[in-house]
Amino acid sequence: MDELTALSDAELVERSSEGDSAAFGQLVLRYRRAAYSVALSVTRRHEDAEDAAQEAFAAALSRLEECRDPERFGGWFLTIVRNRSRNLLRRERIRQSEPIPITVASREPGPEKVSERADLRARLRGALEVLTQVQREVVLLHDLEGWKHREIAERLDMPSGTVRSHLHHARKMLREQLSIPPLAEERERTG
Amino acid sequence: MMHDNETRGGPGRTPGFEELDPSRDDVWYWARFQDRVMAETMPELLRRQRSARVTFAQVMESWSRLLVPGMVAAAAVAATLLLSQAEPPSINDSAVVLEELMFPVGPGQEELPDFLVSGDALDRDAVLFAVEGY
Repeated sequence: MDELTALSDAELVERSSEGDSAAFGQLVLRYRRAAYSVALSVTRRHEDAEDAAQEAFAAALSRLEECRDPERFGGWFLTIVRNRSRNLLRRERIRQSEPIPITVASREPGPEKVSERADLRARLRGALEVLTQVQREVVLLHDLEGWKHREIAERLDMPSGTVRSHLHHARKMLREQLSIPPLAEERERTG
Repeated sequence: MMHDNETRGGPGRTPGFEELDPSRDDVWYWARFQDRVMAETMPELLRRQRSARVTFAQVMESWSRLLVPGMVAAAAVAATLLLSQAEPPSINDSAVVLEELMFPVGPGQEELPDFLVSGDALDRDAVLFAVEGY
């Protein structure tokens, strides 16, 4: 596995195109979290993000020859993730016309944290809702997955300055949103 | 370029973002995700493996399946033609045949036409008369 970890995306793409499951597995390992984050930024729902990310890997493998620059596999692949997510969202919207909130995987947290975390999730959900899709994508890749500006710029095919700008505005908006105390939120809602 | 997205991933840099990480309370989440993706893509990977195994020798072998019978058939036809063909006539024989065709010397026509007997240059009218009869 160490040997595969050291390989570039282009080398893994080449091996994957010959059916090397270990190489493709390494690509999945490398991009699964980013795929989920990008899908979540579009679908805003855990289950849909999961489905879209998985579908995107299968679609990418079957269309591997269309990746003209294998060294930039990341950007090409995340475009597939984004498109799959949008298609899935479109299908969902057709199926049900109600708004889709950001949700996370069903879990069983410790009882002492239930209330606190539920509150945090709710506030985070609300905060992310006000961002644009690109801002959500950038902020999730950076703040959830830990990607660097340069990596995001490369994979999303946008200048590094634009990434910084999106991140700056996204964080500013998030700070504004997250600084609102729940009580005040409640007052606004009820008042 | 070395990538370590997976090892670097995990708890986010912004407090609270880790709540959106599916593996926060389910450490096996990504392992299951990986397994599902690999299971889903296995047929395609196997198909690609089979395609990649087609070596140069296999390509030549597949070609030989078409070429060899074709070449054998062509050789057989050529051999048959060569064996059945009569000995080709010599240039002199051909000239004689042509002359016989032009100037048949049958039972009632033992003598050669005058224009052939004489050593003079051929007279066009005489030739036409002898050949066509006018």
